[in-house]
This record gives sequence, structure tokens and C-alpha cells, in this order.
Amino acid sequence: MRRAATGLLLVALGVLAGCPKSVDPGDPLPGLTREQQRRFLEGRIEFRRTFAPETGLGPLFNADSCAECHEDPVAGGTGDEVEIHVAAFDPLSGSCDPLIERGGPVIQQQATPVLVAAMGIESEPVPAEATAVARRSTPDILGFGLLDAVPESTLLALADPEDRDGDGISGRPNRFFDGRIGRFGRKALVPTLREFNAGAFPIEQGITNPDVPDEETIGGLAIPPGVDPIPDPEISGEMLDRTDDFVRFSAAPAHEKLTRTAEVGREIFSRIGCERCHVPTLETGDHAVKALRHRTVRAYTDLLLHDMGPDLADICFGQASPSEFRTEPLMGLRLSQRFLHDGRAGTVEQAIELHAGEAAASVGRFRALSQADRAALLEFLGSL
Amino acid sequence: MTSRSSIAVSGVVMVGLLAGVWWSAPGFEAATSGTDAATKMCGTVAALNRTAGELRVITGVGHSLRVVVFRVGRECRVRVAGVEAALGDLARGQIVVVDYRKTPSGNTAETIETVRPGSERGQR
Repeated sequence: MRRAATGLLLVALGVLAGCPKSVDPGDPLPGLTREQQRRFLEGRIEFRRTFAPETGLGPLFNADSCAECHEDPVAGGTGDEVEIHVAAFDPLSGSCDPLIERGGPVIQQQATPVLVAAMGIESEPVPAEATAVARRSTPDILGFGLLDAVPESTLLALADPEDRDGDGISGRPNRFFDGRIGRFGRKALVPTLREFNAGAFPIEQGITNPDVPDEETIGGLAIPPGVDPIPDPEISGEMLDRTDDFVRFSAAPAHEKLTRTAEVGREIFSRIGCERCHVPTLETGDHAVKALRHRTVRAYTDLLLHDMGPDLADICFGQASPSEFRTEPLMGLRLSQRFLHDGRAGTVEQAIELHAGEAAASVGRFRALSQADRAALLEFLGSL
Repeated sequence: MTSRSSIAVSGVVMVGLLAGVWWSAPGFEAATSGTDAATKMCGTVAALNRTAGELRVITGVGHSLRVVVFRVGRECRVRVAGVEAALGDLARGQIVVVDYRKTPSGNTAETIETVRPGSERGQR
């Protein structure tokens, strides 16, 4: 009897050990080493670190910590902050100017008291040359390490810039200014997560670091003497590395268990063509981190640019035209309160209705759904 | 041994086994991106001024972008699509690799070569 009970317990423990643990928002990736878990936890401290002018904040900034924006429901999640991006687009030549020498492309919304006193501005001025001013909501960045680990060859295989298959969908990658394929940011400009994170410190918090050792300008002008006396870089390489570790090692939010209705909704998602851009799964490639190597990511994106029609169009960026946006990953969609790149949609249904351009046919099929099918699709999306 | 103590021992064994697997997993050496801006950079032509011998190139890290200004003298070699060319043959939007020297008066380009997208890794 005793032996039988012990055996049963071992079997039960074995089954439990073999079952994937439920991943909650804010958890580290499953399968990290102890050392990587330590770095994740240390990185979360850096991610939450609040800066002040005397520790390098500003002189222009959008937030005083990463977690001020990426806060809901956990560090790395979404937020209600909306920031401003600008560019000048020439439709005749197709050229795109990110207005760097006028303070673009990110126009910071806050200023330190010393800068306010020195220049009399409380935020960075929007350049007069801007042909568009874009609003950018705060996305969750959970699971971005997995997106970083998807090989470029996957993106290129999904691209169909000339729409050779005639399905009306013509995704293409954006490219950074040195020609590398981009994937991060609403316009898919940034090639790697490391660059995305390192570049976020100066543009969001005015914090220089070893990867970006020089400060942003004030609308294209040099920072007045004495306004930012902290020597550059304002954080160490180790602090940057730890912050990067936290983002890289954050798990993608697991979708909720699908109800029978949500299962129907998943089929509808496929049938009406949503998954042609919101590709349900991507595979990561070879990676130094075992927890990121050869993983299936339920990302619901192809990380490519698609034309979304004139009503959503705002700025150009790199090779992305004003109406082109990267397919937004839907993993963690249930964590969001506002939708689309600028948060203009208050519900998922509104966001779908606002899709146009390459998505027009799918939206037409969405509008033709019965009330029950529409509810099923929304239930499925609400589980992501 | 009582059944309760058997259960406890089994649990400890299982935890030990799992911990062993955890500890033995391979480590990770963080890859840091190179940012050596000593003599070479890759970016997109933002503007050029033939008369002034000046080239402006967009580069950056993430969304933190910069325009780097180069002085382009007569001694600078320019190649467009692999063919010898002049500064005026460059065009806005082209991706270029610039070999340059930092001097007290600014950056002096030594060679400028256009590259096809994706064929060069950028250096800031």
C-alpha cells in the first residue's frame, strides 16, 4: 500500500514536472538558467528605476523610468502614455525626412526645471517642417526577446512586396538607415531588441548610455551650458545590459484557455483572412539563450509593413510610407485598454473596423459576419 | 518509514532532480552591439552639398537618430554601385559606407561607397 502510494506520487510529480507551468504577465521566460533568472530580476529593478535630473534625467524626456509607461498590469506591460513622433514626407519623390536636426523623430513632452528656466519651453517644439504629427501609444513589450530571435529569413519568406500571390496582401520589411531589416517599433524600423532598448533610454528619459553616449538635441539645438551637467554616459553598460536582459527574458503572455466559442472565433480569424498578416505563430532560430532557441511564439504578427489606408496614415519612417504600419503583435492583446498605434480605438471591434488598405477585404468579411460569429471572433481575440 | 515520510522523501528526490536539471542548463553570454565609431560608419544619405563638399548621413541606435556630417575633399574616393564616381553622383536615400578620419574640424571622408540594403552592418 505504502509502496503503491509512493509510486503514484512519483508519477503525479513526473506529470506535473512535464506540464508547462502557466506563464503570467511579468514572468520570466520558462527555461531560463538560474543566472539568467537573476539577471531578469536585476533588470526589472533597472526597468523600474526612477531617474531625476541629478541622476541624468532629461533635459527633455517623456518619462522618468521605463516602468512609468510600461506599467500595466506589470513592468513591461502597456500604459496610457501617448508620445509624439514627427517626419516630413515628400509624396512626389517619396523621400522621408525624420527631422533629426529639428529634434525629430521623437518629440519629448517634458522638460527638467533647469531647461524650462534656460529656454522657456516645457516640451520640445514640434518642427514647422513636419508634414505629419503621429501619436504613439505604449505597447506591452512582453515576449519581445522571442520576436528578436525570429530569423530574418522568416520575415523575408513571409514578405510579398509585389503581391505575386494576388491575395491583396503585400507585406514588406522596413529597413534601418544602414540597410538592415527592421522589426521593432510601430513602423518596424529597428533591427534588434538591443538597439530598441538602448535607443529608448535617450529618447524617452534623456539618459545617455554606452551605446548612445551623446544627448538628444533640443529641437535641433545644442543643450545650453549647465542644463545637463551629468557626465555622459549617464548609465553604465551593466545597467543597460540588465535592462535589456529584463526585456529579453520577459515571457510572452500566454493566451487564455480557449472556450468552445473562442475556438470557433479562431477559425473565423483564419477564414476571414486576419492571419495573413497576423500570422499566428513564428519560430525562433538558433540562439545563445536556450529559452529563446527554436521556440514557437504565438505572436500573431509577420513583423512586416502593410498599407493600412489613408485614414490611419501619419508619418513616414525609414522606408515605411505614411500609411504603412508593422502588423501589431496580438500576443498580450487582452492586456491593452486602447488599440491601434495611436490608441484611437477603445475596443478591439473598433480597431478592426478602422483597418483599411490591405486589410479592406478582411474587414469586409468581418462586417458580413453574423452577430454570433462576430462575438466568437472577439472572444477569441480577448483570449490572446 | 511511515507513508507520510515516504511522500516527503520522494518529494525531496524529485525537487533535487529538477534542481539538478535547472543548475546544469547552459549559461548565456550577453552579446553587446558594437558601437565603435572610429573610422567607419554606414547610413543613409540625408543631404549632400557638392559646392561645399559636404555629405550628411543618417545613422543611430533604435529611434535615437543622428545626422553625421562629413567633409568631402577632392582626395575622397566615391564609388556608386562599384563604379568610380563623384560626390554629385550620390543621391539622397542611398545607403553608404563611409571611411573617415576624425579631425579637430570635423569628420573627413576618405572613401564613400554605396551599398545594397542588407549587405553592410552599420556602425555608429
